[in-house]
Amino acid sequence: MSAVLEAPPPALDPALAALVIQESALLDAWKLEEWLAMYAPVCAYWVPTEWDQASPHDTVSHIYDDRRLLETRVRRFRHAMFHAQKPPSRTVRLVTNLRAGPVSNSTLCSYEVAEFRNNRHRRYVGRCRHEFEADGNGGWLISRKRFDMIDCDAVLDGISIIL
Amino acid sequence: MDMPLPTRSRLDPAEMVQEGRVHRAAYVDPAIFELEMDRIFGRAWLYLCHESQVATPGRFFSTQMGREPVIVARARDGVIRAMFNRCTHRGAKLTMDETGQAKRFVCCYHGWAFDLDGKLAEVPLPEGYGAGTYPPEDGSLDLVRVPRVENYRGFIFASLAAEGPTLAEFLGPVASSFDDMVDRAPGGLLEVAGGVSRHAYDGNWKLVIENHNDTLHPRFVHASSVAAARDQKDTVHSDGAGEVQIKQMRQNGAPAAVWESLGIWASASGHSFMGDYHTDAHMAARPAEDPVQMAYRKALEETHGVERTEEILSIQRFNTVIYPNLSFMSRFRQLRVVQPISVNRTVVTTYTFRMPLAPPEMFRDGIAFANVVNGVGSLVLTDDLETYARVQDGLASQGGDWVDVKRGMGGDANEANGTLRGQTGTSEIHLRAQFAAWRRWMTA
Repeated sequence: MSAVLEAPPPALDPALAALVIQESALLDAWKLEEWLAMYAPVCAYWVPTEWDQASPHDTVSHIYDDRRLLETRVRRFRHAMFHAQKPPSRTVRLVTNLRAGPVSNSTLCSYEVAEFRNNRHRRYVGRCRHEFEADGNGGWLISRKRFDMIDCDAVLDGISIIL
Repeated sequence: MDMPLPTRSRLDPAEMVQEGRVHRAAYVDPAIFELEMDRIFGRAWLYLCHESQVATPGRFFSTQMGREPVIVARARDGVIRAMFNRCTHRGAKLTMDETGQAKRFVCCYHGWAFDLDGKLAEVPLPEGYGAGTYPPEDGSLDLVRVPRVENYRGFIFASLAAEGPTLAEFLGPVASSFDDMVDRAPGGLLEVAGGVSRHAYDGNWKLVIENHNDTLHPRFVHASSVAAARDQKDTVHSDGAGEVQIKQMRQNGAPAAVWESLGIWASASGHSFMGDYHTDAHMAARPAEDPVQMAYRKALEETHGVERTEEILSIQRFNTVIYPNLSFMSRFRQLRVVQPISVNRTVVTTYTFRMPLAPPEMFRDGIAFANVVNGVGSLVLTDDLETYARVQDGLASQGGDWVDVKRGMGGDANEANGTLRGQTGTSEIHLRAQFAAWRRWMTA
């Protein structure tokens, strides 16, 4: 037996795990305003173009929304002339291998969004990291969601849904 | 009375472009697409890359010229050459990397090794090919070079045709947009940085090229992002990225009078540019009194002096299109290369430039700007891509054979610099210029 025992991985906080599942469910249900309410006043929603991308500010991203832009993104879905959502998408998300993340109050999971729209089926697959902060009432808000797609550096068609 | 022209007949391209209208076969007929690859992409000057992407010996960049895969490499002699990305032995592509550093290009199949200038340098186990004969000394098995490569102020173009107009002749007065981009960079220094955005759509390559100087579409295509951005409270937190994007979306919602009053210019080669769209006061650029903008102006004055700097900054160009497949924003340092894949599939690869001697915040703004104009998840671009696909679908129908490009026709005015200016900012002058060029390439 090895003399040095590795420290056990940090345990997944069930409260955070439940929020990751809830976040996904709200997106599939198109309850976008409720989904937005899960995010902190200072937050980021990020889909990088590079695997292991270091920063959203010195390299382009498929999506990098701060709180202000995220609100704009959600509002757009309620506009009658969002052409890229006519017809609207139907989505189902898979959240699996959910575990504690590398920094405190964070989670990692394997994440897949299946989308059906306009007779076309697409899949977005990758690893997803959520970071949380206390909301001051004993609960949590999402401060950062990062979705690294395995095909992040591929040629992609337009992505009109929230991933 | 017009006789309807069947889509898949071998239409004469000379008949497909008429006054104020274009036959839909130009967008949907696979035979026309193949002819375009031969006659336009096989002859016109096509943008390859910026010299910063092949800055030192051994740096290479691979890309497509129409159907042809090419390697652009700077050799030990410092010269930048373009060569077909194809081993002269049995035809394998030599490199799959888009960019990299190489000493030689070595084929994966039987190990033939080519120098950076394309010379076949080494053939392993040469005896089997005939003692002393490989590699042949006459250069007959060197990589095939793209016949003409030229550099305009750091922007490298090539032509697959051995003869034709020079790059300067081809660019004509629209070369001034490259001047604008370089002159705006302190020290004249620009470099490609910040990664690459790529997007694809189910539509013909011409659709995106036509759209970049289409000033009428934003109020319709982008209505949802304009409204969503307008209703956004600016008191909500932004780290700067959202602020830049929201400004651009709001600008798309400028009143009709603004769009009508701006300038659109086109040249005989089919190139065009749009101007007077953004002023420093209300755009994704920073206002004049912003400390970053002031530091930038100071850096520019060190290069050009006060008077010339004022002149440079007074130019307000937005998109410039170099026909057939390059589009760039000299002021916002974005460059888009349109790669036709098939008659109804297109890939657009986009690059951002950094000005190494300008304040770093400007590069950060450029990245945020790139995300809104080129990101596949952009609130703006997604509606453009949807529209291209719908146009492609519609043009496949037999419910009408012609595309109408008459807006502003008859009002095109000659300008002193050799361009034509549209009667108003929403003139379709750029489309008429593109199709005049298309007709010339396709019939000559």
